[in-house]
Amino acid sequence: MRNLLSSSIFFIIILCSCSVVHYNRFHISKDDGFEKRIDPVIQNGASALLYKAGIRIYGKYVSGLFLFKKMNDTTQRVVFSSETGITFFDFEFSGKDFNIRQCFEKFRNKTLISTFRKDLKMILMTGFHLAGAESVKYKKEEQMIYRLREGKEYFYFYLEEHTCSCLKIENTSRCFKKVIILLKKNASGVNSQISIRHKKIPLDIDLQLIPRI
Amino acid sequence: MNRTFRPIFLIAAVSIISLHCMAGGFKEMRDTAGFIQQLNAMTNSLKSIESDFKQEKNMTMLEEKIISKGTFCFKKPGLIRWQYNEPYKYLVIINNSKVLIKDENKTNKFDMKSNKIFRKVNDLLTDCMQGTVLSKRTEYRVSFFENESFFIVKLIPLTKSMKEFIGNIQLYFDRKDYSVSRIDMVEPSGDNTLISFKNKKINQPVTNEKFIIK
Repeated sequence: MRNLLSSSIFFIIILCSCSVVHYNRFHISKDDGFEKRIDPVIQNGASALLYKAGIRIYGKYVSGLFLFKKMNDTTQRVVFSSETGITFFDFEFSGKDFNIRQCFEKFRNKTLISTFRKDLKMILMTGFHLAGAESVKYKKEEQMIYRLREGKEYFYFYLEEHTCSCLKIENTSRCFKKVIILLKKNASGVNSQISIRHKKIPLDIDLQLIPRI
Repeated sequence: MNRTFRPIFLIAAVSIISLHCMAGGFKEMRDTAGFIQQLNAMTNSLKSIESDFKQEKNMTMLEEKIISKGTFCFKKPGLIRWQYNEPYKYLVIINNSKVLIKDENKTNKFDMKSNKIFRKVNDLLTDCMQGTVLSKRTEYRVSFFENESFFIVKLIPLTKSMKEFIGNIQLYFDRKDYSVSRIDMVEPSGDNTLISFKNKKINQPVTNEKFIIK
């Protein structure tokens, strides 16, 4: 019994040390400036962006093209197709609404679709209650960090202090990091590299801007 | 559908399709048997094709076309090399049942037998380039058209797996040598991908090194 108790305590300590305890040391405060500052992937100047995509999923690799298209002020489409032109999926985001316009049978998996949906929602910055953002401050951090909460999950947006461009997005549960998205802008201010790393499932997505549209 | 209206509907549908083809400068092919005979003769004598290609993807949601360019190489039996050079690097080599796919980040090798969809798409492209697609009447509904420059064969897939991603395919055969000049793949959504072949070299020597999968 004693051994069981000590091993349980040890296990709890390990769990806590693995958690995003890092965030517990942040100072959290309400901040309504996020909505004005955030700079999503599809900016006002670029109505469509085309990326070369590499997806590693459960040991398999799929490549293709990702097209992000802003249809109007509220609606955005994301189309993933093969290099040879065959469309794998076509998703439409409109605020909190999500519509599957087309989806290849191989991708028609509930878990996979909801994973893609959440990843793309973070990149597109759509469907979030932006006014509910909280500012997160930590004395050693030089970046501006904003936090949005949805149910039991958090979304952290790391902004560069001077330009306010988004450098990193993290999706976490209360304890664990689930997804990390790294964004890199080119000289024109367009996100030229987007890396999506999943911590809980073997899924990585790399997008490289094709400078043409 | 009501039985009385069924023939009327069919006639109307055929008329609309015919009008559509006429509008594109195409009319129904007069001598289908002669075309098939000439195509078979070309297919039998075909040993290799080397060509540049331009691929244009038209999407209803996008005003601009997505254009890519590269080279295509085919050698009998069953050797294919698709190489995209612009605006991204992408290479597909098919050596009988073995496949190599290489993009800027990764090289992927697999056996086509393990990937049913890839095999179907590959069979389709190979059959289109060789002209042997006409022998697959159980998989496609085939109709024939022509204009001054091309013979056009329109294929509508009949199998569920193909219908999922292909609405129809139009093959443009050059009237001079019966080689494929364009492949137009129309998706069920109406978006299409047009591949145009330029600078074709037919039956010129092609080394097997181009198709080596390392």
